[in-house]
Amino acid sequence: MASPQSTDFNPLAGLAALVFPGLGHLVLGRTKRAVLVCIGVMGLFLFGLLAGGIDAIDDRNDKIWFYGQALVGAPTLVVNYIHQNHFKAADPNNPGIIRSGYPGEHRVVQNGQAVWQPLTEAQIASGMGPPNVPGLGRINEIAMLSIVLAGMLNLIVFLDALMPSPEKTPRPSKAEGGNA
Amino acid sequence: MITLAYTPFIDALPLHDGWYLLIVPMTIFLAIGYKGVRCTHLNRYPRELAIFIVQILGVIALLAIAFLILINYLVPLLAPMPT
Repeated sequence: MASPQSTDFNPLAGLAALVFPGLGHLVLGRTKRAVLVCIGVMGLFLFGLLAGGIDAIDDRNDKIWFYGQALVGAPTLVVNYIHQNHFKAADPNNPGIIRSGYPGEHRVVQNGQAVWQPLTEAQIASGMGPPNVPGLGRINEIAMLSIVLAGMLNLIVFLDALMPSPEKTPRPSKAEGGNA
Repeated sequence: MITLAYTPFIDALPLHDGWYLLIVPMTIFLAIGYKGVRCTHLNRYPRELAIFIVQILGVIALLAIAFLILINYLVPLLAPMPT
């Protein structure tokens, strides 16, 4: 582990910052900054998921947004994997199309492949439906934006971990007897 | 059985009328992370954090007021709609 004052180019810290937010600064020995960065980036990330649901991360339908979101690192990739493999299924009329469920559909796995199946009126009335409700309109925009902001913030964090800026101690003020 | 009840982190938040309120927590998290890296002296962190949050929310509020005036008063003056 590098010393807290180290300002050398540090590829290990940069790599760690890409794996999980704050890990790069932890490698640098800057624990306070690591905690603050983790709260900031993961706060934005989890807030986006809370607002828009799991549908806020989708590398098939929102590819451009996903590039920004992927800058958060492993959390985005894990959530996207879960979304694609446990919440999406094939269209019953066109099995080549993998999509989210519509209201009145139910996800079933047949011969190892997930497919959407229409529900009967009685099943819908009993509360059955797709496994998630996708975000629409402004809520979806805010959710995706929040996770992209988390990614952009993590890019700044990554650069700071890769090429650390020096830790400065504040100058004493006039009241403390310092020379201003 | 899978029900249609709201599940946090899985379903979208049913907050369509108050979506703009979501800007506030987003700004706070952004400021916490940004100032965690860019604040030169961590003993000044709380003050710089508070200033940054107020700056972002203040500019967004000013932009909202400016666009409100533009859309509701200036655009109708420039291109009046037939009554």
